[in-house]
Amino acid sequence: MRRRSKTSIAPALWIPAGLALGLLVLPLAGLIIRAPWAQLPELLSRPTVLQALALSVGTAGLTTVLSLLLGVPLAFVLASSVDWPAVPRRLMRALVTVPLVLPPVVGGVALLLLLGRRGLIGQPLDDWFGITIPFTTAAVVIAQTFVAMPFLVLSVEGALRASDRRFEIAAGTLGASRFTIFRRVTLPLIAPGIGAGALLCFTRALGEFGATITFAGSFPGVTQTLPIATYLELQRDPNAAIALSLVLIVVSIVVLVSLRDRWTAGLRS
Amino acid sequence: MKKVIAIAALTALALSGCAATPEPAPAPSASEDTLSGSITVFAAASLTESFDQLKTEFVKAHPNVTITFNFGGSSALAEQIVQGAPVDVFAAASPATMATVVDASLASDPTDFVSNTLELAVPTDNPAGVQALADLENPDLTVAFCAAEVPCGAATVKVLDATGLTITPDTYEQDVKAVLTKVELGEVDAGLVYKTDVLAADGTVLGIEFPEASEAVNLYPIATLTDSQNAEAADAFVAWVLSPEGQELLQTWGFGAP
Amino acid sequence: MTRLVADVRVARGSFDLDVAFSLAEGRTLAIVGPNGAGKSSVVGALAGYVEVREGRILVGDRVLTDTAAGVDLPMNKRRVGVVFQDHLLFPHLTVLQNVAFGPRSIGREDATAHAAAWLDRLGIASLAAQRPRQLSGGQAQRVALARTLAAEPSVLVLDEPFASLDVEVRADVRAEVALHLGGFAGHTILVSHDIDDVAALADEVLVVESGRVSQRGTLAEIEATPATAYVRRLLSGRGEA
Repeated sequence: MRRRSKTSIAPALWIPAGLALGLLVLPLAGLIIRAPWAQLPELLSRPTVLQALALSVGTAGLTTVLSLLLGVPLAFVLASSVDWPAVPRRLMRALVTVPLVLPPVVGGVALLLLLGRRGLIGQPLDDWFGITIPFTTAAVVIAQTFVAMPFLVLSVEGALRASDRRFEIAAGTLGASRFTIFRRVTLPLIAPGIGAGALLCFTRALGEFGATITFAGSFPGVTQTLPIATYLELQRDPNAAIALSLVLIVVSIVVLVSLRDRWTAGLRS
Repeated sequence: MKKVIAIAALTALALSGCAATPEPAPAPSASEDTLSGSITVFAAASLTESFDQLKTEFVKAHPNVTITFNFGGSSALAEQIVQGAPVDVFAAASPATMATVVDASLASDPTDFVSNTLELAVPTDNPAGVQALADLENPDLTVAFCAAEVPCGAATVKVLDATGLTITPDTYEQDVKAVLTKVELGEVDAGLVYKTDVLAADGTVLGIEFPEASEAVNLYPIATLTDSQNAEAADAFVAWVLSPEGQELLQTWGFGAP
Repeated sequence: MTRLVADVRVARGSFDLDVAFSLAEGRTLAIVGPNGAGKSSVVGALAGYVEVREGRILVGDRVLTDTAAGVDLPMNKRRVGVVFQDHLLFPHLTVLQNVAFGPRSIGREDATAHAAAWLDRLGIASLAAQRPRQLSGGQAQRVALARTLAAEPSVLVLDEPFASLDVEVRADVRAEVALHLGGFAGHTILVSHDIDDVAALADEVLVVESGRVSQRGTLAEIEATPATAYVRRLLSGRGEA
């Protein structure tokens, strides 16, 4: 006979929890049930589909790398801001969080006004170096980084704040230089936070639509990522759109599953 | 006392004279204000400014009717209608997109109410010195087209086929207003939009007509949806669009006769 | 003969710390005092992670801190090793990797062998492949001692090293530490509020109360003439732990 533990949850919680689960799972189930399974091989082997998939995965990967290189240092700065006075501290935090609350299209417009051909920085770039950014794959990466990097920054910052800084002191007394401490103590201790942040960043970048289409435009093979291709297909051939949606879901699930539990544990910190 | 009445009478006369502000067409007769309720109209993006004005005039005659618009790429709108969006009137930028809705038995008897032709749009300072459609063949130019899935994109494809030009744009946008925006912002050297969009842009872009545009004239159909909850008001709006006054208004915006 | 000389003023929240002491090499000085007296600040000042407002710390003719001359060696150059109360073993490394951490950080090529030798010396070679979370309190403190000694510091500081241990374990670990301190050639500072620790390990005692030194001497001297009420209370707790 199984003993019910005294700390198990109240059965009544299952009602709203069940509804929540349903809301999250049933739309996916609907997609899978209505998918045109027979035509799937043909639909998915079209060159435009493979192109869009390769572009999406490639740009999302680049975005994650860029976000790691720039975002981890920013997380350190943000974590150290607890010692700052209130106004600069809150301002810094607000600035990092803004892309999270901004509608992506607004982000795209902002990027255009900054980096577009007539933009604040874009115009000098064009006039002096002949470099234009919109409508290039680089623009896709920039748009994705704008919306996805904050996820990584906040995840790493959370891990930093939760980690015990006394380990770094102990390492110092053992003779480790600041760089050695960073490399052999600080980084490994926040690795789960970095992993979780990179995961969030990648999947967010993969699904990015509004900022990309506004700033980078849409051209097959160059800027037409999978979400954009799906949206356009929906208007012409809904079956193809469903097929593309399945691809996006599968890629996301593969990414999630291939990362271990201890990395998603970092999402909780 | 007599003086006060005289002044009041003169003032009233003067005011009634001022009330006659120039209007493009007289509104439908105000005796039809038995209509009430609200209607939702899905309309192609290119109809934005003209339909806003049509609405203003319609509501003057039918003050108890509220009209809500949803402008966008016709194909996206058609898809939303097929998926069950509650709509009363659909005005599409091509018979093909209207057919999507008709085939789903959600509308019947669409009527063509205007036509539209393409026009080249360039930023006001024309940085690339574009003069004709063939200039766009130059790969150094940054060009924006509508995606082929939307009516203006379909027209673009027809025009290119007819002229035999090979133009590779730098981006395929999902509706014609997005192309226009890119031109307005100076992000592209040229874009293909409708004549009506150039007019509506009111000087923020430069329009260049090209003869080959007549190869692809888009007919715009309009229809009341069969599931409309306010068919009376919906039909009245459609009738207003098709009326001589409505047509005159549309043509001031650059549309052609159907 | 290298003496450890410390003469420091450290700013703290409630009151400033103002202590001065010196210690010959090979000797162990116990710093005792009530909680909040400032003992941990002394540890921090010696090790270099607490800022000294004014003063000097020298080991022989090696200057670790000299505010007047603007000298303040960073932590990793001071060769002051600390065994912390919570051991602070790196959770992501094995016991062997923890002990080898110090030697590796200064670039020793035989770091791992050196670490293994230290584990042997402390009789905990069997723990080499375990992770800190798998260790008992007593085992962890032994590993912490091995880790600190393997880095070959010139000053060894034990900051309340047995406070987190169970009563039964405390005496055993204390005895082992006494053994190894006997062989340690440098200066040893023991911070504690437990008189039994002092009796087992220290040659001399420094009593710190409210940031000031209230008494200095050998245990016998302090027992003979306790200078304050706290010292009397401290001595009376002998044998109870």
